[in-house]
Amino acid sequence: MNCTHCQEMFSSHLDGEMDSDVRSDFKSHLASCAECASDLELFQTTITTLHSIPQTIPPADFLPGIHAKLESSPLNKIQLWFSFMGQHKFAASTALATMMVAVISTTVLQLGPTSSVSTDLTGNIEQASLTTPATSQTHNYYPGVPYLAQNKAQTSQVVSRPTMQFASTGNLNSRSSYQPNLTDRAPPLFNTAPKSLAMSQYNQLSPVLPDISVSLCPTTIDQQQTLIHQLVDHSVWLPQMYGNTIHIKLPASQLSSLQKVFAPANPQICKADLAHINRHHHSGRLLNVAVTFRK
Amino acid sequence: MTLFSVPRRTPSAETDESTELVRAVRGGDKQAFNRLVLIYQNRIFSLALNYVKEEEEARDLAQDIFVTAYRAIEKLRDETKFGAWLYQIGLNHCRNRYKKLSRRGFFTNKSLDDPNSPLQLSGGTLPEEDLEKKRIINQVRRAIGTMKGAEKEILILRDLQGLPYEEISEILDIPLGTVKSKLNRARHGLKNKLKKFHSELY
Repeated sequence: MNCTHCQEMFSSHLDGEMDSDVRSDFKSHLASCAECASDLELFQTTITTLHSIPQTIPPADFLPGIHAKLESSPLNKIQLWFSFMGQHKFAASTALATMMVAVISTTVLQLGPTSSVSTDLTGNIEQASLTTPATSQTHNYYPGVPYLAQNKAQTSQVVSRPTMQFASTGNLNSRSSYQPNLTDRAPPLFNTAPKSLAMSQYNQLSPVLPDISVSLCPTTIDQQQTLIHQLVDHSVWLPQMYGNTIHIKLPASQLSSLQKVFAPANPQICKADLAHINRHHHSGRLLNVAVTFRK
Repeated sequence: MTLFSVPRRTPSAETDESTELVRAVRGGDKQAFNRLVLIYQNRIFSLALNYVKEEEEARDLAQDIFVTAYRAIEKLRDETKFGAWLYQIGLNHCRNRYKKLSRRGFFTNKSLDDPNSPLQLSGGTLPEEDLEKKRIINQVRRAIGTMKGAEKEILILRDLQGLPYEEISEILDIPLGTVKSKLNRARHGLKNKLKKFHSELY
């Protein structure tokens, strides 16, 4: 056996798959060839190292993230949010996604395996139930958000779309437990009676006077979207939107992390506000922060 | 982020459950899809992470892979081959995302020496032995990063994802013998790169 042939056998040797008839030739070559022997050692160390690299597990919001992507419109919901929703106020981005679908009525949504699934307007999908290890009970993925059939779109074109009902396999879906606190602001976003999604009554509400105003100038659309995402997805900060400003409430202690998030977008905070930040840094009081996006 | 080796079930038991679940998803059982995700999420996330090296991007990429799989599930001809099919979708997404990110210069500033990189195993004060292990792993990762697409891919599938030859053969749609010879070449390639690193360092 020559060196080339020997080296071609390294993998099968490592994986324990070498044919017995070549094994003795292989071993005798190694015994007499120092180069191949040291090469084999390096080969084995390298691959053993690869095998020892531990696996990283995905974050807790991985599965809900998939659901969110499956349910959202193919159109970029954030860009449309700015151009279409204007003065409307939002309590949660999940409500936003549902409303977007109704307003953008010409959108055709990809739904996946609908050929074998029968649906009706209220969105209940006929299920061929199969006993699976997890519980076979499906529950409302977005509690409190009515089915689209109950709301008339502004342009009287209604998209009938079966709602995907995904059962949560645990407490991975942080969004489903989010209950917006609107008691000190406005009537609830959705009433039981069907109503127009124009929600013009919310246009007249003026925002709470902010403690701190931040003006952001993101350099790219990606950056703008990322920042908006971070603000809107943060269930604890209770984001509310007025025009191109988002109002959030957060404890003073989180201000420095907020500033870090904003840093790449050239944030402008006026000096009086900064003094305010420093004064309230150690108190537990919730601050009203107005974040405005400029072009 | 916890790092640990996830124990694998026997391949046949897993195939049986996957097949059942795929049938259920096609029959309209959405919950079965959740279960499929849970079975494969670690592997697909690892795959994504090996390509894009950053957890946020990897999560986004891995989610997109499952979304595509869900939408295309009717097109899967053989229900018993869900795993290989999912990996094919995964590889396509990973290759495309890698190209896209490369064009944007995503990888040029990311040094594997960056202490904030998720690929750095959690440090703190480690004994000499562990620090040495960590250094070796980082060296190996850096070397993989410089390899060509096809070679890198087969190394990832076999030595990082731990897939059996047969499955790799199905995923890449190449004969078993070709898998073995390609893998041998790729492993030698990696070993040679490390030899070069070593000689440059010392």
